[in-house]
Amino acid sequence: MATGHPNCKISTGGGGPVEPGPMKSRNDGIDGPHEVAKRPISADANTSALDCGDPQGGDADNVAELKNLERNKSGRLNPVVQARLGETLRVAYQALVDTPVPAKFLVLLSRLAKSEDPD
Amino acid sequence: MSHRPQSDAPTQSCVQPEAMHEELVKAIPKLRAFAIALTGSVQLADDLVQDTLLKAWSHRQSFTQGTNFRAWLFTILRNTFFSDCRSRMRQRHLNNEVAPGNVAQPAEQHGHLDMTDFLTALSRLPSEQREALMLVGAEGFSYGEAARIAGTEIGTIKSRVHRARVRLSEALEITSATDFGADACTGGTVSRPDYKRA
Repeated sequence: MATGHPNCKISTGGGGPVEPGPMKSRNDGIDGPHEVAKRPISADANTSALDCGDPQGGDADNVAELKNLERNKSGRLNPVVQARLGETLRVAYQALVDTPVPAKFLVLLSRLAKSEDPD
Repeated sequence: MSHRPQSDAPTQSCVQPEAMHEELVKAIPKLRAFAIALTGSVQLADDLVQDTLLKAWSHRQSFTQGTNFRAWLFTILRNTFFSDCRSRMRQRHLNNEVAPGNVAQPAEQHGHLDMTDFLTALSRLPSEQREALMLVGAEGFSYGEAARIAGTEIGTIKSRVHRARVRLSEALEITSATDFGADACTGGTVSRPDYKRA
C-alpha cells in the first residue's frame, strides 16, 4: 500500500513509510520576519540566546540587519526604505510639477478654444 | 494616499469647449511632469504634452462623462508616448536637459542622496516600470486606475511597481533608510506654498 506524508494527498507510489515531520513553509526558503527573529545568527546551536541575537537579548542591531538581509534575499524591500523611496519620488515629481509651464501651451489652448467660438 | 489630487472628480461638462479649456489648463503641469519622467527630456516632453492637448481637444467627444478626466488625459499621453517610441525612437535616458537648472529643484539636500541622483536612477528604469511607478507612486492613481491607463492587468502594474522600487533601491545602493533622502527639511521646504522657482 502506498504511504506518504500524512498531510499529502498524493500517493508516493510505494516505498516505505515516510516519517511525519514538521510542515515546510509554503514559501520554501522565504521565511517571515517572525521566523527570522527566532533563528540564531550563529550556526552554533549551543550559543546562548544573547549571542544568537535574540531580540530580548542585547544584540537587536544584528537581528535588524539579519531581517534586512533576509528580506533582500526574498526580493522584498525594507518597509522603511520603501517609504523613504516613495517620499523622495513624490518630492522629485512635485519638483517637476512645479516647473513653470511654457506659455505656448496656454496660447495653443486659447487658439483651440477660439476656433470653437461661434462668434 | 494622502497625496491624491483633489481634482479627480470628473467634470460633468468638460466636453464643452470652455470647460475643456479650463480642465486642460489645470492639467498641464501634471501632464508635463509625467511626460518629463517618461521621456527624460524637457523638449520631448513638451512635444508630447502638445500632442496630448491637441488629441484631447479633437477627441473630446470621446470622453465619457462621469469618468476620470485626469486618467483619460494620462491615457492619451502614455499611448502617444509608446506609439512614438515604437515608431521612431528607442527609449531615451535622462540627459543633462533634466538637470537642476531646468526643473524646479529642492535647493539644498541634506540627505546622502541628492535629487539629481534620484532622477538619473529613475530615468534608467525600463519605461514600463517608470510609467507604473510614476502613476502609482507619484501621481497617486490606484493600481486599478494605473492598469486601465496602461492598458494592462492590475497584477502587471503591481509587479512593475515592485520591480521599479527594487531596481531604484539597487541603483541608489540603498542599504538602510538613513542612506536615503529627501529628508524632512527638504520635504518641508518643497511643500511650502511659497516654494516656487521664479
